[in-house]
Amino acid sequence: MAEANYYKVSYVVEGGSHTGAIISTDEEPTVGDEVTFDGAVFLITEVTELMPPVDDFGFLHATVRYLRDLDE
Amino acid sequence: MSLRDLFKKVHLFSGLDADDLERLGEIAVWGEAEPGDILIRQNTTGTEMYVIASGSVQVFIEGFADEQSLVVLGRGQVVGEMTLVDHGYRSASVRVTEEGCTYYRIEREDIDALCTEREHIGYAIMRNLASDLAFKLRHRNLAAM
Repeated sequence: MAEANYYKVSYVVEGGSHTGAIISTDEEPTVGDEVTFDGAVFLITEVTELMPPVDDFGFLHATVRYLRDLDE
Repeated sequence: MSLRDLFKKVHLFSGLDADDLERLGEIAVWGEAEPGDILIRQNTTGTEMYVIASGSVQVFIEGFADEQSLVVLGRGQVVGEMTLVDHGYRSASVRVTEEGCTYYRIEREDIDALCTEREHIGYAIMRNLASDLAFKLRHRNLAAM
């Protein structure tokens, strides 16, 4: 995937147990990373380019798997 | 994180230089919201948009699907931006998650005035707004699969 300074990421949760999130980040997400949103921790299982990069921005889609609630 | 550092990471402001971001900062008002607060109420008229600075918000449709979240929007995302385009009623409600959130609120008339004063800002924002809506549509399509 093309290099970018910032990444806008569409996170979709496997199995539809959560509707997912859109979050911007400085670091390109990779498979095996953990990401936190909406009070839960998720494991990234797939990353693909959602749209071609523009200016400093990359646009990615990540599939994630629910791991645990943050307060567990 | 400074306002300029945040705005550099906001897709809606992509392509704008430091001076442009500073001008945007002059019309942005910082705020803080508690978990459960409603930032935007569906079917109301609103003239402001919000840039999420920290924490997150949930978008939901009132009276639909038990008002479950359609999507969570975190740092650097924008809500209420359709008011820049259609001046219509809010299409959904926006509730602050358990994380709480901080934000910058920008009034439509202020951003309209800035875009008139500096047309290249208006061009960039409208281009990015279309791209942002495409991104959200693609996200919704994938979430529905």
